[in-house]
Amino acid sequence: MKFLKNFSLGLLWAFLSPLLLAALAIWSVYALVVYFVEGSICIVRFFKGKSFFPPLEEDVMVEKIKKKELDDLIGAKEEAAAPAPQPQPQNVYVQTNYYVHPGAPIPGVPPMAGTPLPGASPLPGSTPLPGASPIPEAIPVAPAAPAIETGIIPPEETEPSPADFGTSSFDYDPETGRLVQKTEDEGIDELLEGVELPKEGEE
Amino acid sequence: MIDVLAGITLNENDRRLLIIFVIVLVVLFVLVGLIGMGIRLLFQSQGRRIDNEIHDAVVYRVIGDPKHLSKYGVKKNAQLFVRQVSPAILIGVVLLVFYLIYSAIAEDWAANHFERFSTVFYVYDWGDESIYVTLWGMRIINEAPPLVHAPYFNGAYWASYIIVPLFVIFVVYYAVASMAYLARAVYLRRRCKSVYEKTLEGYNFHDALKFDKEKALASEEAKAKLGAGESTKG
Repeated sequence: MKFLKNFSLGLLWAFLSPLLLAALAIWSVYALVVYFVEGSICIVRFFKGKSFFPPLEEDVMVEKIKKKELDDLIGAKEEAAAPAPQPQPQNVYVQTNYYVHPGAPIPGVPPMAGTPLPGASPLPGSTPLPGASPIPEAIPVAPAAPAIETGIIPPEETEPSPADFGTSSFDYDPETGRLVQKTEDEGIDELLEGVELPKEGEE
Repeated sequence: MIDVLAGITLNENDRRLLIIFVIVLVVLFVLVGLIGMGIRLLFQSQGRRIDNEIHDAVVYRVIGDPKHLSKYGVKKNAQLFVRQVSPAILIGVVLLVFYLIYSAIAEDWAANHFERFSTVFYVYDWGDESIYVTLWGMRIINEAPPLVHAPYFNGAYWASYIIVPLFVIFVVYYAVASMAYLARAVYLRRRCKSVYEKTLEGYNFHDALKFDKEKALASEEAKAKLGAGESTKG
């Protein structure tokens, strides 16, 4: 049916072809005039160093819109390709070491004024080793609390005496500088010094 | 009328001529229809090319009314015509220059270049009366016309062998480009109307309030599937 419809329209166009030819002839003359006008403009623009046809305002606006759309698309793709870095969880392990030696800080006891904590940066004014990191500012140290307030008397620095080590079966001979084993009776007498033993028959 | 028809008697020769005449008429009828179809399809395909030129400005909403679109389309159509017809014009300019130079040098301004070019074709004598026969008052051809001359090349007509082909090419090329220009102008007028046309054809205000059975069935099926999924999970 479509072919018959097109065929009949084709017959109509064939019968009206003389009119179409006349219209085409008149239009060709008009087209020739249009060509000479536009062609002259093109030749003048060519010798001025510009493009053949003047850019139309509508085409310029369309190009701007297309460029903006392309830029937005590229921006969106870049954001999708590089997602924001998530913060990695950091596990911080705090190790507290307590060293039993004179001058070591005791937990709960405020440090003496002027003494740096173990492992702390050197005191201000000291020269750093070559290649070492720059000396940071001194960490403010809290002043030592007075003994009356805290009730804790800091130990004095003294040389250790044999009594500090408690009783043992050895005795220190200062002449030889060696430990001498005590006799059995001497050791027992020292142990029982100050102790009242019950007499025989008493409970 | 019946008496006239009854009086017509056909001999064997007339009968054959009638059959051949009818066949030729039918073939011509079909050929003319097909040629018309071809011209119409060519016109349509050339006219739709204007859509390619004005598409972006309309789609990106740079042009918002028919008058603006018409002005913009006319400029784009003219630019496209100049680009398409420039080769034909170039051929025409070369032809004109060649004809002027040859005619000035040979002093042969009155030469019939088309007759001279016909020496490369078979030429028949269509004016011979012996090949025609009269049938019911109509003069129709009865046999092949006599041959005047077979194709041959004449050295003196070398300019005609260049001028006539170039002229034919120029005319056909320019005619096709002009027809394309005309077709695009016709389609531009149609687009200026159709693109911005508002129509309520086929729209009914109450259609939106009507119950959409298919949509309701689709939503019911979706609910059933969802319910089955929840029961399997439980």
